[in-house]
Amino acid sequence: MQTPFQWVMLVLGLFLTFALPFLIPSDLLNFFIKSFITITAVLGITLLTGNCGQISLGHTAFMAVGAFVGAILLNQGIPLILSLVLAGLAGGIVGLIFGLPALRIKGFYLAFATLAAFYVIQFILIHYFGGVVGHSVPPPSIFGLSFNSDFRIYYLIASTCFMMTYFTKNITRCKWGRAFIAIRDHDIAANTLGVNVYFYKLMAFFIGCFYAGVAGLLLSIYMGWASVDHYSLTNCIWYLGMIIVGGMHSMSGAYMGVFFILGIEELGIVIAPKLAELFPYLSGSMIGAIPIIFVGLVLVLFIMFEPRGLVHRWEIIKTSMRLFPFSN
Amino acid sequence: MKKEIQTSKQVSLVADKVSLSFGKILVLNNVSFHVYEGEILSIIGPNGAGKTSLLNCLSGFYKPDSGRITYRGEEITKVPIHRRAKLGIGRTFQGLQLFPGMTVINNIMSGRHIRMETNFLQAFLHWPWVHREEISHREVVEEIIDFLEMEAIRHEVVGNLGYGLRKRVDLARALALEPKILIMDEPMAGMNMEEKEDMARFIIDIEEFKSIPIILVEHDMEVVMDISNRIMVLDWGNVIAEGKPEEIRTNPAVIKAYLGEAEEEIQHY
Repeated sequence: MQTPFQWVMLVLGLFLTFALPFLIPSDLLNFFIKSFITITAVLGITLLTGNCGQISLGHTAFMAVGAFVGAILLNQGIPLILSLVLAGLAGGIVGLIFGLPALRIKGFYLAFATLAAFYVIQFILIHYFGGVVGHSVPPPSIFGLSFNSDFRIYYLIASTCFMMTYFTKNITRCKWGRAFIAIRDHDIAANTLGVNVYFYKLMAFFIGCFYAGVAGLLLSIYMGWASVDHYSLTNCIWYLGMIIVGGMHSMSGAYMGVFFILGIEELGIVIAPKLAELFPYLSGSMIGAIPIIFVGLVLVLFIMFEPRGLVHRWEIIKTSMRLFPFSN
Repeated sequence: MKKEIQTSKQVSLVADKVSLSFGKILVLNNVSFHVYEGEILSIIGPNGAGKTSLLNCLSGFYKPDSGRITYRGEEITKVPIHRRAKLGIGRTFQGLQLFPGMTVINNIMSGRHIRMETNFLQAFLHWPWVHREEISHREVVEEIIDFLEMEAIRHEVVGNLGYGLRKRVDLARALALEPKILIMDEPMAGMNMEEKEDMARFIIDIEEFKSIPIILVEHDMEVVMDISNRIMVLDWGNVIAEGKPEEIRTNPAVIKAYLGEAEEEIQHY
């Protein structure tokens, strides 16, 4: 936020977001709801993996923790905002516990340790906290305003997502953000500068999983139900794909990546039946796989041709626009 | 260039009979030395003499098998690495150990880490004072940038900089700690003549204006002889000589350690 232009764009963007439900059909609204929930979760991965360099394959499990805790709290009549915070804290604390291996191991091995975390958490949730069925989530309300339709839930989710974006910005623009990047880029050098690497790694897990917890509860509110089925490992891997496509370490990267991947997936869903008409000899399961094949292809192409993500492309365009007409 | 020191003879850092071995290889054998406040002590020696291992003991990467390291009267042999920064021990690296994803400014700002007090909640909610803290520390960083003449590259991403400049960023980052002693591991390795001269000038300036002692490991004999107040020579983990540059130059044990090629090189100056 440096120039008046940026402020105007921000206000315009916010206005547009809040006017959106009046402008678009309801199935497109569902797409945006899903996107904003995903962005909230992916912002956590941006901090944890993109900034601090700690990979986690258990992100959706931490979302499930947030969803279950939040659902139980909401059913007890706890106010929505408090439930969101507590769901976030629950996700964060569980994330911190399963982040402990990060103190000893890195990269590939850490990925596998967190993968184990995913299954452990899923097992615990199924066996001790409500089973495969899960919990129903009553439509929550703030100040008597009940979020009982997609139209209203959109506002709840969009504003939560923006709050979380603001928090991400705050974390990254002070010593905490620098410490995270220092650990990602060179943990030994960070250590000699007085960064307590263990502490900051754990805090990165806590913060990243806080986002997961909040996003998990949002998803269960949208679904009206908290069940482990909504928080699959596949989703978690897509989230990682999203930060690759968007750009690892920036918030705008999270937005771009999520909209891009989910958009392509939607597109695949629209195109698949048409392809089925064109090529009738394709089997039904083949048609169902088309969206995933699409997204996978995009991911591979990004890793090959633009590993720094859409954000980097955008920076290049911005720079050349600033230098216009002296750029090529 | 070299000035006669009036060392106040106040000791900053003492290593007392430090030994270190990896398996059966004895890397450091009862190494003892001390650094006075306000002097440049160079540690030289042939490859594999244990210079970097000694520095790594001082900054805490290796724990010595025996012996004590005392800093300003306080034993630090077993103090964790990140706490040594708080005590005022700054360090630059042999290789390029910067944060390549950050700009020059942010690299140096991360050197201010220990001086910043923003806690988690304040950071999360961006307390007004977080911003004020950033600004006040940025001012200190700007002074360092002026001091090391890096104004033009402030906003460059470190990954795009040349080798000599990166070494300078490394030094700036260490200075941002406001260290009370500076450990430099081969600050001039791989530099060209001009970059070496710049770096030598900065080292002298640091010693002069910030009056902090500097422990320097360096291979370039000309520089070492020129800027050090005292020199310590290591060979196979043993201290074989210690003294003023002119004494070291004529010391037979040193000449023997460096053998043929170095014999000429050392006597040449």
